[in-house]
Amino acid sequence: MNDSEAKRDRLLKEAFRYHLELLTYARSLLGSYTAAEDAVQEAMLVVVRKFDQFQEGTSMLAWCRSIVRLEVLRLKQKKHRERNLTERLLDDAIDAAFDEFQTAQNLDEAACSREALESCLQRVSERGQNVLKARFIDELSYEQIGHRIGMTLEAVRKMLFRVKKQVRACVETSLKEAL
Amino acid sequence: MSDLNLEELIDRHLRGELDAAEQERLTELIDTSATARQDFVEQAQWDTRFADALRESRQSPRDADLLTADRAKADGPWASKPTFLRLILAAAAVVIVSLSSSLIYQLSYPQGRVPGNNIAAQRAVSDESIARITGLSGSLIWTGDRGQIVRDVKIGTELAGGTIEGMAPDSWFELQFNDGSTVMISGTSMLTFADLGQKRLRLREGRLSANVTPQRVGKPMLIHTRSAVLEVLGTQFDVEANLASTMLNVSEGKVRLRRLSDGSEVDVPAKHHVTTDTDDDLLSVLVPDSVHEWKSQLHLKPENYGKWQPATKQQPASLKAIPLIPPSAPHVTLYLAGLSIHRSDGSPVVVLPRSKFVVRGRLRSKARVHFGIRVMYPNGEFAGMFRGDLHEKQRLAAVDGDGRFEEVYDLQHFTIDPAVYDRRDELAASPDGLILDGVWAFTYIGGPSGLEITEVELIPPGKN
Repeated sequence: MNDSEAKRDRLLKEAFRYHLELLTYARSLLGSYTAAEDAVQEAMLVVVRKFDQFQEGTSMLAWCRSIVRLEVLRLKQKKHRERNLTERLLDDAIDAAFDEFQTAQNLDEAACSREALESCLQRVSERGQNVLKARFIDELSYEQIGHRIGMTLEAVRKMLFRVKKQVRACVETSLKEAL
Repeated sequence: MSDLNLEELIDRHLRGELDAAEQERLTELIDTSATARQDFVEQAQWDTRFADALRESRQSPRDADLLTADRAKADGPWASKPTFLRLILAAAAVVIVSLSSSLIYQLSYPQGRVPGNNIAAQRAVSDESIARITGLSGSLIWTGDRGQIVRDVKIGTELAGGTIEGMAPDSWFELQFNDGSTVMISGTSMLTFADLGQKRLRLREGRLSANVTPQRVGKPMLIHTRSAVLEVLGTQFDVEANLASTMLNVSEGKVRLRRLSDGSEVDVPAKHHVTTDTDDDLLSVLVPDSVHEWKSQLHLKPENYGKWQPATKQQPASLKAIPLIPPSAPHVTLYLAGLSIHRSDGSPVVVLPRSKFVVRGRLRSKARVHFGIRVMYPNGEFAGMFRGDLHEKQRLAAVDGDGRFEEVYDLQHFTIDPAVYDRRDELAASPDGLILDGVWAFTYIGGPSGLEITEVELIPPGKN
């Protein structure tokens, strides 16, 4: 393996570590998990092609985010979604928030956090799991979930926030215990 | 505004549910408060981790119930703590959801850095061949699990999963899984595939046909598109997906389709088709009788390869040819435009002997307009590609003062496309009686010709 290939492998490994962070960023701009996946997938292909344009010593996460942003814009254009001023301002505000506060977990943290999350999710009641799946997998609205599961809109909203809070508390407790 | 309200705003924003007033409110909060900005990023991160973890165990509601019941029987609800290996296996299983998911796993655990001690076994699972290439032609790119991009894919290559992308209308690719199930993509399509105990495919765009052998109980083949999930137990079908919708035609057996937008499901039996592109309930309908004539409707912006241009007062909608470099001839640049064949009522377009194709369009330079078609069998399997311009040396297209031309290609003069000539014994000898799947036209004059297609028409015999 020559120097260029070694550099490429090293940079790509680093870039691909940020998949979840980039998915979060794309989702925050697109409002759809599936569309965010597409944007990140396209962005990763760009990263593979343009790895040599990355400037060593700068933030790889920020560089990848800038590529994702372009893919997000392209995707919005492709869907003929003309962004109005409100959307543009919100996108800019979100972009700034990610610049300011997004950090990446290291590998061990990510693995532990994921394991804890999986474990905590299994402790959720069947009804709670159904609500979570309807919201997170099928991306249904509160109203659609209520219709599917036979709950009022308000009951869905409350259950969703309660279950998320419980799982988050469970994960944080598990991680503290693991330290 | 309370924290609960901010939390709900973020939750709904991540799913595109905010109206303009709520977007303004969220913008104001984020702009004016560092705490709100931090909360936004943290909540978005959490929400995505939730979604990612839940999607990993994605099953149809029925499978999810079975899975839950099985887990309860085996472990009890609180005792089931996943081992790291199980966690990694689960992580690997979502390779289909995104190539990058696979890449992150493969690339983020270099030797010696992986927590736990099961990575060697996991690598073996991940590297194991699940399928091999049994046919291909045209311009294709395969991206493997580790991110390597391979343009030089060959028949017989064993694959452990990844993404295959057809780059041009004349591209097609056939993959045979180890259990004998075959899937094929044609035209400009993008398919990611994996099999870690259950076959999972993601058709991002384009057309896929499959012949699936009976799958294990509780482990149907899952095909994800942007708008639906298909659950396949063992059958023959073809599916076409684009940004907005999924169209499914079932030839044999039965396929369950779940529309993601509302969670509704429908079982599609043999000889029926369904589309997700409706606001009404999903309804599978009998595939109508075939038709023998077809006309492109470029004003509707069909799935295509090329640069679509809307109609103006002076000109009809058109598809402008764009450059294509054939993988077998990297020194050659063609200018090509292509179309997938699709009728809104789902009726197949069958090519009758002695039919004619008429291609209308514009040219800026003198050029020969070469023309090809792709056909499939009634069960959706790829049947072959044929060219209408190779019987005799194609003449220069005759253009009028505005550069408009009309070229006619008689089906009786169509010959096997050189791109699939080495597979002529396995494919159809002629397009007669087969279903039209795609058409394309191109020029080759050493540079751009300004080729624009305004209409392609299939005219059955006996009709002018």
